[in-house]
Amino acid sequence: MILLDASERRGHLQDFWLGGSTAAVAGFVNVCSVIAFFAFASNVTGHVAILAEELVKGHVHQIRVVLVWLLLFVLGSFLANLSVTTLAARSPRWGRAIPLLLEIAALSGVAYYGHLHYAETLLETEYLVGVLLLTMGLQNGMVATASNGVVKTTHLTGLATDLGMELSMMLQRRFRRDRGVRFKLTLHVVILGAYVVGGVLGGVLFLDFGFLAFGVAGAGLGAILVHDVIVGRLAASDRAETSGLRAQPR
Amino acid sequence: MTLWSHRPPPRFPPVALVVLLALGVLAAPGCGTNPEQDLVGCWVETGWEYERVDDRSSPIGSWSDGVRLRSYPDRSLVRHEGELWEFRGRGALAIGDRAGALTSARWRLKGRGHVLTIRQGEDRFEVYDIKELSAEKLVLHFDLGMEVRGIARLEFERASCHVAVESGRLKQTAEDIALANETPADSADSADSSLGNAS
Repeated sequence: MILLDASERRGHLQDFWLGGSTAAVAGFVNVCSVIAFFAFASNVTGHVAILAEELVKGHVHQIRVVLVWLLLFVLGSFLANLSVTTLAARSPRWGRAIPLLLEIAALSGVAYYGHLHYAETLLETEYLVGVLLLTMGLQNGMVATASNGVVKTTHLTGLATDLGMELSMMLQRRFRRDRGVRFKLTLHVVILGAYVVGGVLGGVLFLDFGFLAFGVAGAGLGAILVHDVIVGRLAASDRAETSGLRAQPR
Repeated sequence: MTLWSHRPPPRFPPVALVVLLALGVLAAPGCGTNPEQDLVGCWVETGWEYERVDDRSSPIGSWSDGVRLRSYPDRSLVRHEGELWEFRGRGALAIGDRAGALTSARWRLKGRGHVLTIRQGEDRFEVYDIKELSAEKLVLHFDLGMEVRGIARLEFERASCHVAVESGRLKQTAEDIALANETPADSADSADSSLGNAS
């Protein structure tokens, strides 16, 4: 079972595992970011609200910082999708691996710099938070593209909305029998649960090990890549999906 | 498997150029004032007010513990009353109380410059939200906890460090304290890069 398989024959189990594992990493990074920098790494909704607030207050420095953070998240998602779609024909496995490799490198860089060099200046804080937002954009873009838009691991506002709707639908017999609704409900519960578990783990590890905890998040993503390589079906997946890749999220 | 074939690479999308250009312009230094620079200098505390008071007409709002705080004696809250704070470069902070006693601390800005952290020694760590920072006024919010008073609001006004020193209000500057406490080993690493202990 290849988690990053982007072909049409992608199964529900793959979405559960991919969603759960990457949501745990997202929760982990977000909580570590809040503890270390007092800024969220994946809460784009919150940053947009903050941007509006800073615009009203006329705080030029803060407007610039939040705008760059938002653009970095967008850039991450942009690069992930660009990598997957432009390399889909020639080397789809590299197209899917590159965003995660970039994210692993960035998280390792934050762990290294934070552990050895970070002097807690505001400039460093702003850049490091920006790097973390870039990684979350890369991850979300990569996972959403690979899962054809089914899995989004940092988009908890939308997820909570969907969850409420699906729980409501479960009250009606005609929807309870709908496999699609049941799958989405399970997937969203898995993502939400994994996000919380990842967040708790991140908080505990950061308080114990400081910035080295970001390396653990990178290792978690590395495990996903290693898993797919070890499973060894990537080559077969490449051949099959050249004819059936859906480049754009549903 | 080859990453690159003989086919020409895809044209770089114009939107990517726009995004990169926007990032470059926005990330360029010198755009807007840096809150760290705005904070440097001397500030006199002029008020400490609770978010919730039982009777607005009573003098509870200024320099008072309030009824609820006295009801929770186990809460070891940090109090700053009528102090003079001198923020120096490189994160040094001198806090002079109304009696003239002086303590040294370390200050940092976090987030987008909206969170002020103050560390005194290894155990005492305070976190404030900066609600207002202008040339003449600084307003901090400190979350005391709902059971006590909710949020405490600390107000400061810009003061002259020279006047404070001459009048004896500030007996030493933070720089003096740092120099006095600095050992030869510290001198080599005065940037104080120990964030691993962020709590």
